[in-house]
Amino acid sequence: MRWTVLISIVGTVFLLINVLLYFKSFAKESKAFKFFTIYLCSMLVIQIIMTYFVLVIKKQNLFLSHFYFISQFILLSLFYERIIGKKYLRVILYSILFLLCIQYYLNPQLISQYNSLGIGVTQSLLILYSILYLAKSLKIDKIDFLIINVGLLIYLIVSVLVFVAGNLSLDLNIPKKLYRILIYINLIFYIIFQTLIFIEWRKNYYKKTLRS
Amino acid sequence: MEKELLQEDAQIIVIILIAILILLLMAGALIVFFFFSRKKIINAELEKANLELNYQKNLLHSTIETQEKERKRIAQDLHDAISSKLNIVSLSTNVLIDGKINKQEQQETLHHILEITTNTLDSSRRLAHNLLPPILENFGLQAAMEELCDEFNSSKKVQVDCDLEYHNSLDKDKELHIFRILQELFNNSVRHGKAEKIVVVMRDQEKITIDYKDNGQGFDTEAVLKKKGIGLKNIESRVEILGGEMSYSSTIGNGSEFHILINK
Repeated sequence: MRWTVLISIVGTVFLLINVLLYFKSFAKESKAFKFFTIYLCSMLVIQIIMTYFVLVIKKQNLFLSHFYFISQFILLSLFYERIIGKKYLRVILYSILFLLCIQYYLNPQLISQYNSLGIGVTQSLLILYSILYLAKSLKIDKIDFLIINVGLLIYLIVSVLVFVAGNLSLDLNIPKKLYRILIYINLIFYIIFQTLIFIEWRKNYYKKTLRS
Repeated sequence: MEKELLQEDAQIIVIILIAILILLLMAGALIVFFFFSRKKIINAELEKANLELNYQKNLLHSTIETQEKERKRIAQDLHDAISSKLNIVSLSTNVLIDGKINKQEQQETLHHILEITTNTLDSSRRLAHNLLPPILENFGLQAAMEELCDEFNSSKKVQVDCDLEYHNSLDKDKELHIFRILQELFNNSVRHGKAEKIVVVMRDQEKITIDYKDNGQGFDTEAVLKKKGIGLKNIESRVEILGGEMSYSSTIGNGSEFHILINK
């Protein structure tokens, strides 16, 4: 088994733990919390299917990457719309989804590649939302999801470039070994991101779960 | 590995790696910056809230203090001016009822009673007038302020020069506050400042401005900042209720000046 697969499985286990923990508090928490939990779940499902393809069918499945970034964009946009409290985030979400539909309609063979442009635009928007939320946090004493937000910001910034460069993995001139460095970096930051999500739960929701 | 990194096609990976590093550094700097600013801003807000709270507490304190002082004064006035006089009336009437005095003495006692009741009536009217001057209710602020100036003028202790312009642009509650402010200023000048001359100029244009100047002993503004008397606190809280601004300047021996600005 390759190292990337192994680290990826570690990341998935972390994700699984977070999903279970967040589901424990699901019913009592705010809508933003619910959107975030659903986001974690969808990531888990995609991750499991991806691992299945790599381990059992022994084939990369780029088709799933489209599901990954689109569901990430939808759920995190809804999450940020709630916590930033601005309606225009919803408008941006619909417009981007509409543009993506047009893109896939005009260029159907995109399904078998990484959609670099789509990933770039959606993740950049999420990075922007994350910074907006940081700015909002300046004026509020007690604010939720601060650690998650920092985790998202760091992870999205690292992963946007890795994914945008994803099509390079199809380029035969580039040694696989080198491209794998990018995958490693992405995986390590994914684990950091999951750890921060866990810290957020431990700090803000663990006691609430105990009390109930 | 190094060889592979130097390959031409691999350059793009190196560039991406550098870009990731730079972005990460920027994100880190951003997060650190936000966290430090957050701490600072929240501390500043907290301090502001505390100051506000303290100010409110002081205001409440001085309001209660003023109220108590006023009650004490009214009680004293009632006792001195009315109760003691009525006591004498009661005693004199008892003497009359007993009937052990001759006619001339009876006449004298009756005159005495009449004199005392007239005086008491006067005193009670003055008391009521001091509590809330009827002229303010009936003829408005300008008339009430002019009367106040006349009253102080006629006391001969101080010469008051009033130049008042007011077009009834405020409602009754606000007028009462302005009246009380002026009353307090006069009292302060006469009682604490021992002033001999006071000049009041009031203008009613876009905003209402009151310029007040006396030639009394003045006060130390620095010391007053640390510990304000009830009178000054009272004026300040009234200006605050009116949503206005007040500034004052004074040096010991050179009188004092007050400028009050009130939005309509």
